[in-house]
Amino acid sequence: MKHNPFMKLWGMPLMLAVLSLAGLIVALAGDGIWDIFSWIGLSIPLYLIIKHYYFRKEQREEQ
Amino acid sequence: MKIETAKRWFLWHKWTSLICTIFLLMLCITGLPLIFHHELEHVLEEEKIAEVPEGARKKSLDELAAAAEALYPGERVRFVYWDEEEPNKTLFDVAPRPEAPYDSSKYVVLNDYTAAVLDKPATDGVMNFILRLHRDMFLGIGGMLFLGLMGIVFVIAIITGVVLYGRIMKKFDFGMVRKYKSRRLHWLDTHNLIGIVTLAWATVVGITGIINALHDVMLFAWQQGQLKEMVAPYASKPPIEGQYASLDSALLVAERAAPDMKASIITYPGTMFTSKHHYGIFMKGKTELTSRLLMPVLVDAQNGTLTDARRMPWYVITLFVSQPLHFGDYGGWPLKIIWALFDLATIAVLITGLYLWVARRKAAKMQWSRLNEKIEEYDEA
Repeated sequence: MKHNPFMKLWGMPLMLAVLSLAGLIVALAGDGIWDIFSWIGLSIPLYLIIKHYYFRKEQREEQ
Repeated sequence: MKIETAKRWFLWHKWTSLICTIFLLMLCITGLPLIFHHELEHVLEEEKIAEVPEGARKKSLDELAAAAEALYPGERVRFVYWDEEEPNKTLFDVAPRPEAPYDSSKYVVLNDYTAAVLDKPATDGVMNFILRLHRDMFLGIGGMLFLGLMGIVFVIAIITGVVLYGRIMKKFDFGMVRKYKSRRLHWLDTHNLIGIVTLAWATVVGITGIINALHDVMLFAWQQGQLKEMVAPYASKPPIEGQYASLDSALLVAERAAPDMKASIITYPGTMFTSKHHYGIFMKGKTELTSRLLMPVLVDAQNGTLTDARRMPWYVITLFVSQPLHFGDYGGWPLKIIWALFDLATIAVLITGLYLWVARRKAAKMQWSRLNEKIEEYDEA
């Protein structure tokens, strides 16, 4: 996947969008387990913001 | 991508963002407390639990409505509401006329078993102020539609932003934040990271916000369409004289017409949700999703018989489904917290975006003045 330039650029954004949309929709389906799926699906994008913003080594910039 | 094409996307992103940012900031800031409005109302006002005396029997709806009307001589009940999270309570809206404006409503919460007044919710509280600001900025339907338009502009800003993200991040790994190169790069990367991660949430809340802004338009379309069809046989009948049929029997008729559903709201004849001759009883399903899809049952308010019950048309269903997706009130308190965090993340995207615009302008200005200095030097020489 890393070798495919399209997936390198859009892989994560697409995965996060699918995860968020799934999270938004499953909570509508019902209570209990569906809500828990939703919380997990929607927490991952938020977690990634924190992870990349605070806990990531500075990337060497390719000029 | 050609440089001119990229420039065009950039200009679209810049201008759509500039137009909607100030309103989006207002919406995000007022939206934050609204996510928790239920919890905050409980904190701001002391909660009154409906005590059920031992051996007490539930009062009939007619008795409760009479008790509510007795508090305001000369005025009548026009709406009756139930809230699942408030057991043994019924909320009445009492007004001088059924079609009177909303600010003439008096709200009374009664105990279903004793008809005691538990609360008279005020409509001038701080939460209501925030809600009005968020919904229409105190400008009525014009303000609502304007904010809907800002929602459309916001969605265009998101789309153009994604295209620019693709261009900027082509050579870099996902999640890059260049904190120590320059302030502008730091904020640009932050803007890109948070923007792309919150993309789906912001798009859904933006689009459902646009749909919610069309609330009054859809109500009008429903009144002129389905409602008119349902009550067509009554079009030429004179208004009802004398007493209305019993609320309790009307409710029973509605429950029989819509089994497996329960009543959520009763609207009185002459209000905007029904005809001049009918109780409009809005039934809801029992699951998370179907509890949002209200179904109107029209009961003749003179003789208490069923006139019609129909599923709402697709555009009203769209509105009903988009409400929870905008409010975030459908997955318990953890979902509300998640909603608040996404809201804060969106504020961060707006502010970093604003900063990038200011920084860019400053840079352009500096370039200008440097150029001018050079020209002056040249002239002096």
